[in-house]
Amino acid sequence: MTAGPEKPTDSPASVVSPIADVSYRHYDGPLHSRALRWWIVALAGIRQALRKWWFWLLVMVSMAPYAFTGLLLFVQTRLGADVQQAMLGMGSGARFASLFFQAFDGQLFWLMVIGLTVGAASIAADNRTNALQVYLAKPITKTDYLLGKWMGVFVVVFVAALLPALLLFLYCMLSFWREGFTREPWLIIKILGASAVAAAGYASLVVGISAWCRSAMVSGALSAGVYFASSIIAFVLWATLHLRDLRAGDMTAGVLVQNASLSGVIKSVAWNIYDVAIRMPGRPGRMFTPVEIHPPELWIMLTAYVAIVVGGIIGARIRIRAVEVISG
Amino acid sequence: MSVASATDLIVKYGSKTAISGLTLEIPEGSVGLLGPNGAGKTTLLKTWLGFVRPYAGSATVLGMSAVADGLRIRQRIGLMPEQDCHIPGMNAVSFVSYTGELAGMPGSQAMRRAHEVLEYCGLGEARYRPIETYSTGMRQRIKLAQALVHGPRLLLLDEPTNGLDPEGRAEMLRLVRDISRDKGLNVVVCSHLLPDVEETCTHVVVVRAGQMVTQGLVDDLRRTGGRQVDVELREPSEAFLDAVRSAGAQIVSSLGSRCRIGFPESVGDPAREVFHAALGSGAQVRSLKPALRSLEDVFMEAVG
Amino acid sequence: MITLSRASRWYGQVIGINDVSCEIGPGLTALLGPNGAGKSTLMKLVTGQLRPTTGDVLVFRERPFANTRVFRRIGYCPEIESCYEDMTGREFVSMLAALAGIPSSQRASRCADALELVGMTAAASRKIGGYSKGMRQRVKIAQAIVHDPDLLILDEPLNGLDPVGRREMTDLFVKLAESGKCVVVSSHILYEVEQMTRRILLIDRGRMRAMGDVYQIRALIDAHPHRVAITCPEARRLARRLLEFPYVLSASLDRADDSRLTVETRQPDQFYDDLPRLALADGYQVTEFESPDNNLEAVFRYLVKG
Repeated sequence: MTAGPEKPTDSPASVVSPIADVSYRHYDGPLHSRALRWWIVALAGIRQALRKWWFWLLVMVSMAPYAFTGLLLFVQTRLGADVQQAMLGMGSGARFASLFFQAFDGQLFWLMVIGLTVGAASIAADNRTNALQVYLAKPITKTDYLLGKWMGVFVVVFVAALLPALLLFLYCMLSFWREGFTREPWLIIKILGASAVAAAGYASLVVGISAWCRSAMVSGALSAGVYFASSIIAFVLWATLHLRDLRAGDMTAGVLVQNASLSGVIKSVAWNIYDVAIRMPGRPGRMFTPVEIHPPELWIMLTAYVAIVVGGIIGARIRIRAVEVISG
Repeated sequence: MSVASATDLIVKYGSKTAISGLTLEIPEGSVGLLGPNGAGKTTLLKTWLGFVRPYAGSATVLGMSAVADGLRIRQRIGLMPEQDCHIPGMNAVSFVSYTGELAGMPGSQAMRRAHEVLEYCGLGEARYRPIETYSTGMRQRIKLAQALVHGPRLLLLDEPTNGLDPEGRAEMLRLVRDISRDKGLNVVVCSHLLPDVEETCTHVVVVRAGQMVTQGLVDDLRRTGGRQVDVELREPSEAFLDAVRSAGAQIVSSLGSRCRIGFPESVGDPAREVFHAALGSGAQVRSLKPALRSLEDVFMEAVG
Repeated sequence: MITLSRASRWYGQVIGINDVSCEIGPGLTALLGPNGAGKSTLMKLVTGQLRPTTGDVLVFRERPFANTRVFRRIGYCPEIESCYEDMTGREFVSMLAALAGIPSSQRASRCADALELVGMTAAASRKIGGYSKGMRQRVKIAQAIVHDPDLLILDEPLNGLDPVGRREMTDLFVKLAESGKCVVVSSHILYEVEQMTRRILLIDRGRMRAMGDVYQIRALIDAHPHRVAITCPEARRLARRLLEFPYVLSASLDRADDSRLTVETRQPDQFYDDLPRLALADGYQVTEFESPDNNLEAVFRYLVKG
């Protein structure tokens, strides 16, 4: 199969001559199977992120909502049983899930920032430095490459979302085993699911935009811009459409519109996974009869979410080319 | 066996045809792939690498089909692209070993091999520095190193001396020559600098407008007919040219202090005639050698 | 046309050029030097994009820095890729012609002439984004000559051009220089420089290393031991004979081919004068001789390393 004269490179030089030959030689060492190659791309992306000091700072900051929830629980255990009953157990069977969801909601913004730190540069930097051509000239496919870039972001965001939740889960399990914790056997699955939803959503968004940019700065700014713009638009839309309800003090109106943003969609899908209602203070004058806000319609939100993920991935896939197509 | 080939190859980008019915074979050894801008050289390389799909016809590399066996081909091919490429924040060792891992080498082997090829490409201690701080010459060496890291059987070099200063160019050409000699490694050099090809290649293939126009051994192509010598004088001298003409020879071409002289078959030793003319006209001959056509002449004739 | 007197320019602590004095007159001058030697800095000083930190730069007896009178007489072809991807070649040249102060009545015909000179008439209506590297280079050259400047500064103008393009553009530069303009071309490709001009300006690490006629510069370097490779069937006998000359330092036979011989001499002029005489008198059949130290490449290597 090979062209050119084969030289017996596998026998050590010393057998032939007492002086070793240190000029160029062929590589005939072992080769991994192709299945692992995307993981190498992912690993390179992860390593790049872990080297930045501010990445670690972000991870610490993003854990704050869980730490706060944990602290709250800890303080409550020190109080009397009836106070606990009043504050925690509001009769709902889903009390721990609700705590976890609220902490998750608080972390969501930071997960986006973490996603940007890892992923904004991923494909954009390769575009700018023409490295794509070099990589794709190696025996990997475009899909390997894209999957690797995507997984690089996904894994980091997933772990960042999962780690504090698991720590809190562990704490709850040890401290509240008797106090109703066993009533929620699906909680760990819900935590995993919500973390994966956030990670996949952000990975697709960030990688999809990165593929269309030629610099990490532009890519980061664009991703953040799209993210915040969608939040602002959703908020303004919600505020104008439901102005009357809000004036009347009904905060529960228009959950769907309120969450019609990138962060909202991701949050809503996770909300449906946790399947909890958020308690809000009631109407003026009836503050102590809290109202419950239920998650927005799953099917609508899931469709939007899938559109974001698939759109991001397809968008990136279209752009990843080893050839500059010259038009005109 | 040919290292790479194309048979009735047609490649289109959208409605634009880049290669129209190209048939050629790249023999073993070191081959210069020449052609004017837009002749389809880069497109041909990209077809071999499996980056673009042929519209019609076929292309093979090392006996494998470029369409069906892209991955297996890329395992055995090393590409040194024309453009500068580097990753911010990476040093040469991590970049080259990363590309090695992409080719399937285990991490430890890739690292070992990265050091080996970087050393071979003359990067020395600089390999631990971030690539942004490198000079053009060093970046060019990294590009070569990453093309060699996985031990390819065919090396594609696209403008390997692009942007290099004279010293860097000489060093790069020395490397290319060394790689292509006795290493079981076939090399294809695409370059607009024909002396680079003259220095590194044994074969040339010339394409124009998506068609092959000439191919052959460099030595065969450069041979001239008749008894011609190239003479270089210390300074341009009309008197010398006149003296040569009066000895019955003909000035084929003359540029500055260099000229090419054609002698009739009756002259036994052209050198003696040149010496006589020099002594007679007071010119100083600085070099004298049997004439070879430059690759540039060959090229101009082929595409002209 | 260009006079630099003790001109230096540094950026922060990085020195671009250091105390350079020289004069460049009409004709074609090649600007040589390794990467980072200061060639681009020198060009930017002359074209008035930079002001010398110390010393003086005069072009047409005026200071070029931010001087539009001088700008209008200078054509400059930068090394960087121009990024007006959405313009056609003609629009690009026309825009720069307008900037150079060509009245709109003449602009179209001047652009057409310039594009014709660089062989881009056929592709002038296409967008630059779709041009090959060689075509971009041609358009950049057209832009530099469109206002018929007296001084033409070209930074690596042949980069990316194919062999045909290189020869056409080289011919164009030579023609412009012969018509009395001052053309300064920087290049790394020394054999091409040899075909263009004999006059070089060599800078290295910010300092001027050599200026003037290649042959003169080479003659001065000749004082250094100089090697000549000779092919002759009787190489052994010729070697023995040559060693009798006092200026021949050594003569060694090639290991592989004993008809080849390398001689080292300290007085190449004397040697080259005597060799034909010797060959004719004693009947040596010298088929080939040549010095690896004889071309611009060798001059460059000697000056930049030495």
